[in-house]
Amino acid sequence: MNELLAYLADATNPRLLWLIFLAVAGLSVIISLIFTYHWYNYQTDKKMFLSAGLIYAAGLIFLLSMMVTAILIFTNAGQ
Amino acid sequence: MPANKLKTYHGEKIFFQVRKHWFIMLVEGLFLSALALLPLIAIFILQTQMSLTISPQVFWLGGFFYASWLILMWLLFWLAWTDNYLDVWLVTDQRIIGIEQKGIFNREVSSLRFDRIQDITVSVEGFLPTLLSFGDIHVQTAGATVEIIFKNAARPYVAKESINRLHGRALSRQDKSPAE
Repeated sequence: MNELLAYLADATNPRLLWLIFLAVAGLSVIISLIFTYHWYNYQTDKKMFLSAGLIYAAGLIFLLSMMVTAILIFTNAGQ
Repeated sequence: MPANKLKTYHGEKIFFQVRKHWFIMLVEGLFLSALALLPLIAIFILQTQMSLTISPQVFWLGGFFYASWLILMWLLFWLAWTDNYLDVWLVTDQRIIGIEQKGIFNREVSSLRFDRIQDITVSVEGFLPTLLSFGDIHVQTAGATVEIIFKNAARPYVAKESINRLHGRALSRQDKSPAE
């Protein structure tokens, strides 16, 4: 198991990770736009709409930056 | 307010809203949290059972995929929230406007005038629904076999009483008005 993990880490190209990141980020943006459309048009409470939007955006930005950090450190660790 | 997109009659007043109980969202949230923690639990078990040694490179590669997994869970959570939050019954002085959001690309809006209501039934089944006061409200219309249902509504008995009161008021108003 240890050998397999070490092999996978060695064989992984950081460029592939950036591509995956771009795909995930792109998909998140599209879904966020759909959410925004729904929340803005069908909201029943403006405060709720704003606070939900803020929490959602904060969480998403945090997770996307976590992905970027992981790629950067992974690339540095491999060199 | 959905009323800004929803066409209400002239002078129509929205009295109250019927929403889903918070417990439904809590259960979905807990389920997704458990799914979010699943990879960590799997790694912990592997580490203890198979004496896994994790190099910094493997750690950050795992971190990358775990973050992607968390994003998926985050999006699913907000999808569930949207589904729950946008399911609502708006009870006005003339009718019930039932809005049901099914996923993100399926939305159903139905309208039921008070003079067409024949029967309102509330069903609260099970220990937790009884304890936390949530259940289904069925509104049956006269004539046709049309029924609108609000599943897992919060405080269904209060909603039923209020709808009954508004229904009675609408009927007496109809009786007083001259025959057309």
